[in-house]
Amino acid sequence: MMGLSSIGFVQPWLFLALFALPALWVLLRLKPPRPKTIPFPPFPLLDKEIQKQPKPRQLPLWLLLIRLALCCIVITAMTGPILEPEHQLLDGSNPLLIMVDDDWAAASDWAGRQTMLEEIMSEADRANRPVALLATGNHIMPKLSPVAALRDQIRSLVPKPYSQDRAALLAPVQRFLTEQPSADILYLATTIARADEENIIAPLKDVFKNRKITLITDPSAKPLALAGATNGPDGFSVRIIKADSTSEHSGLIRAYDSKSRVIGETPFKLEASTSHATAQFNLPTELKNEIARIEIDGQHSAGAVALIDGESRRRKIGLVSGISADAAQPLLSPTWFVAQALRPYADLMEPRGGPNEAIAKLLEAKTSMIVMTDVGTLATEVEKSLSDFVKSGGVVVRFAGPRTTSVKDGLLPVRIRPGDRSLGGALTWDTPKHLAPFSTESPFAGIDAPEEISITRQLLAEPDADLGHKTWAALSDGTPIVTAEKRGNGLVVLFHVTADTTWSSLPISGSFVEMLRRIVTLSNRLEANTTTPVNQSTAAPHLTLSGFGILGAPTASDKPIENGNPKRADIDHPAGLYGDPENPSTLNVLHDGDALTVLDFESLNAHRIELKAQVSYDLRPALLLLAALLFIMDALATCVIRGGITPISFRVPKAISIIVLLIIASPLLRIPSAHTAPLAPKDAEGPLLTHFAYVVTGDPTIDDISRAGLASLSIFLAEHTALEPGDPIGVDLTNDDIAVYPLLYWPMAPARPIPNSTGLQKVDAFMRDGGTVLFDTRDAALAAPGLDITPETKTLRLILANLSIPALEPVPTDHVLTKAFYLINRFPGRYAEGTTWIEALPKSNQDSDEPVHAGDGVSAVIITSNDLAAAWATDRDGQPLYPLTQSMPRQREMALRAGTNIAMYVLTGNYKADQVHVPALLERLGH
Amino acid sequence: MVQVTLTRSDPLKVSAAAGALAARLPLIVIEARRISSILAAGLHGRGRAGPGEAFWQYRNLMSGESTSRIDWRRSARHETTFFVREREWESPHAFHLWIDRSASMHFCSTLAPLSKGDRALIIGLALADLLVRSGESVALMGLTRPTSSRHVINLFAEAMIAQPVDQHDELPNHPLTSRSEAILIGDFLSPIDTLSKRLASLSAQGAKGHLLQILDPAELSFPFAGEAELISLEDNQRLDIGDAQSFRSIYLERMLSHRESLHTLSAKIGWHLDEHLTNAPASDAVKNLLMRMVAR
Repeated sequence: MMGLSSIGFVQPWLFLALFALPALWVLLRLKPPRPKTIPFPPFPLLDKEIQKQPKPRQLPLWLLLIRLALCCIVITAMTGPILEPEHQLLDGSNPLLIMVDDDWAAASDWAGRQTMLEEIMSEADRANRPVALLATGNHIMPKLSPVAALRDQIRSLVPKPYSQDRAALLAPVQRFLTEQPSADILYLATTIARADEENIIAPLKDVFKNRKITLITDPSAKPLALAGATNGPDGFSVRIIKADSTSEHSGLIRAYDSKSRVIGETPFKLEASTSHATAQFNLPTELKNEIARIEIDGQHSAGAVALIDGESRRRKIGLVSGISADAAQPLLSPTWFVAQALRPYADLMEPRGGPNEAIAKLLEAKTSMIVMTDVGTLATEVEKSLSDFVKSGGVVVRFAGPRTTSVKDGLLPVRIRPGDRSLGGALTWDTPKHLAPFSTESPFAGIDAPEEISITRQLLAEPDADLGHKTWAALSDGTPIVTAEKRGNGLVVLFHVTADTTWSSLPISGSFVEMLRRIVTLSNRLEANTTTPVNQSTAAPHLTLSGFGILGAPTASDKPIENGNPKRADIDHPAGLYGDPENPSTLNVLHDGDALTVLDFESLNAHRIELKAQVSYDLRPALLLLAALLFIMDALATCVIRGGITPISFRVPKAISIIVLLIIASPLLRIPSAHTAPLAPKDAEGPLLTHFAYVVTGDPTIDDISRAGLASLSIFLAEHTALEPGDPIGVDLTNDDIAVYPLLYWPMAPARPIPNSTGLQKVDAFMRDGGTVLFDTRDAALAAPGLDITPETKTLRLILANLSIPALEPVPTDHVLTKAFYLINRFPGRYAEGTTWIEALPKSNQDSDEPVHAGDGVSAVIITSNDLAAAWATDRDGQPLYPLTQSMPRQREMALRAGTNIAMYVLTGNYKADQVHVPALLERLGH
Repeated sequence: MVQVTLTRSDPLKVSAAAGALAARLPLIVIEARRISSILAAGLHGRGRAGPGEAFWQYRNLMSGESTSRIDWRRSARHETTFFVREREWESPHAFHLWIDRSASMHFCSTLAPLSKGDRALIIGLALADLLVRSGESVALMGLTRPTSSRHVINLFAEAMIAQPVDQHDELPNHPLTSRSEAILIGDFLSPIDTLSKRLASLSAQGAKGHLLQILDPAELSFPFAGEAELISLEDNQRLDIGDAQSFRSIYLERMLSHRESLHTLSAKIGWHLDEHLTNAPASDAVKNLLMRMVAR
């Protein structure tokens, strides 16, 4: 039996180039290889008659054929031929039962599996065998049918988002095989199974009996899976499991929020010998709570996705104790047991101070739940804000205690009968009571109520009509022990016993932890501000995972899950999100504690075939190699024809052949392509060191002054202050990124065009984001009242018209700029006459005797006309480059000091303004 | 086995060739000196006066002679007689050397250590030096006057650099006096008619002469194979000869007939013809030529 071995082409249209071959034929015939030339002195001896009879030279046919073959091969290689070799998968003509494993473990190489399946189908079609298909994920009774009818079914097969239950297969397969005693079996299997399924092979073998079995597996597929994700106190930890014990894995795990944005990633490493590893996301609590989905990077299967529901969100829970806790004896604190119980599920806050103060702090900190142990009557305003908190969705859990016996505030779910009831004491008849099993309506449903819990003392509720409705837990005699009431969106829960062991042994039982945890979960639900009832028995599917691990709409056959009853994902309940879209509960493929195992199919005695992920071969490298060999052959042949490999005749062809070889080989060389444009060196260096920047105006004189000026200012700063700036950097506003510089010096150059709108927008953003632009019109000497506006000023006005500039004022004498480093009152440059303008400060009250004023942040604009850079500029030896007007003493030094102040102001902001308060602060502290 | 040929410098570029000559000349000069000094030692006892070549004898001043010719130092020792210093070297007999520097002389195959032109220069200069040493005077035909200076090699070399040649450096065609002796070194591969005309005019007044034909071994044996095209070095003509091996016999026949006619030609004018291959030692050729001149 012959299978079709097919060759596909990526770009078959390139075969059109073959039409050019006849032209090549003609060309090659017309243009034989050039003979070698010999410079020859005895030339004059040879007479004309020899010259007149050159033999007609022709390319030998074999060389022509080599060249044509070479061209054909190159053209064929360019079309990208891909050989799909034939598989001999089946033989015989019996009916065939094809079983396909299609759970999440098959997802990673699903394309290969589907291709293989199609090939099998084609082969069965050619052999005219009836086929029955059984996708093991949905164990439907297989039926024999012609291949054509199954094609569609195969194409629509997708991996399923749950672990398949192979045991459930046995019955339908058994039935099928009894009906078809002669059927052969082909099993396209995944070798991965949950550890609790590892004994499936033996029953499978019993069912298959001695039939002819062909088993197709992919031993190279080693899928990883996530089993269990816990939002622990130390971080969000994820458990990664694998099946085999031979290979090492490492990779990345990514955490996504509900909008599929990556909020964290963490590496993991699985040693060969271990079967599981734990990776941790160390994120802030708020971010951890945002995690909605965790995936192993690069594993496209439902098993590698862990959906995180609201229950694993960590909430801030406040603890308030009525007894002032003694920090030295934490074990005696009434909050100890509550804190121990809640710590794994929430972040606890236990503020100091009395109950009123603590509650106020907790409300401010926006906790979602407040646990009060033995808190008596609260201050009226605290009580009011607390009940507001509850109405807006908060949860208050109160524990009884000596102080609560007489409480009558609105933060109790039931009315309390004054006093308490003692059981089993010296003065009572009763024995200590036990917990009754939790009713199914209670949120505690499903939690154990162990016998050994005994209640010796409790608060009693007034027997109101709705008491039974409010009761979450009761004693064996029906007395409510936990009551709750919904208020607004929130919940008030009362434990009728203390949070320590004085009244009952409840706090030291495991059920206590579970009960508190349910309450925390409830608080999460409430926080999502839903209208769904607290108790809902079933949750409809909201979004389900596909086998590839992608969330999508559920199908019609997906059924709701029962709340509080976590089952495994199965055919009816695929992994996904269930219930309320705002606050769904999740069902994952694998649960915490699951392990994977490799199934050993050896005992089936099957004919085994390996599923190759890549069943096709790219013929291009081979063809190109062949072409290169032919090319070398052709070159050698040409040399032979031309009579010897002479250095002079070979030099040029050698160079050409190397070039041609490189061209031929170039598709084989993988040249890594840059994914991102690299940062320009100056952009990359900018953030690492503080640099001052100046705007390159395009006028070389002005730019040189700017550079030299800022350079010598940088040196001055390095000598006198803690700031050591790098070399100044000239920026082109249109092309460069200016966001990394703190100060941008911008001299006006009227001869040059002002920057385009892109550049100006960049400057605008720069100023808005906290940068400072120092405009310098350099015209103080020319600008005087009554004279014409200088061209520099005109340029400045033009530029400023396109920027959003705040109100300006001349630098006031008490501005922080005058005190940022030196105490100065003017900002001279080459000229000292010009006024320096700065963003106007908000009007402070004039009476204040503060010596300095500063607004918030730093002025985005400083405008001067004193030509600062020219005053700063020095040559390499430190000699000044430009004369000054010398209208004030030590003007150059003063100019540098002004520059220092500007730099310090730009970098430290109003820090100096705060410093002037230090004496006052010290004085206040002293009292 | 296929043979390989090349020329040392590109024969088609004259200026480059001239520059290359200037660059190679120091080595050529040294080689010429070496050969001449080896041979000078072996050529002692020629029986001619050696040193004092400038002086032959004193004779009395004859009336009518210019007083400037009086040798005052000698005359001062005598009371009445004025002596004139007479020079032997005003003898008109001189060797006229011609070295072919045309483009075809740049040819050099891998069978030979150096090009024909270089070999011609070495032989020519060494010969000039030896002749001067043995008291003859030598002129570089068309470039210098006869000289017997000890620095004849340098003089000739400088003269040649000073006047580069074009590709068609041909034999001068003005006749030599009967007392001159011509030494012509070249490949003489021009058509025999041209050669015959030139030699005839050179020897028209009865001058004697020696021809040294310098050939590359490749020119004699034509050791090429495969498809080939020949290029003329002088006028850049091309000749497609097809398979070189089959062309070989035709060529060898031509070459042989050319050499034979050259022999005939030289015998006709009474000149002597020698052949030299560039793979043979240069000193052999010099020695043979020198012996021939002495034996005259």
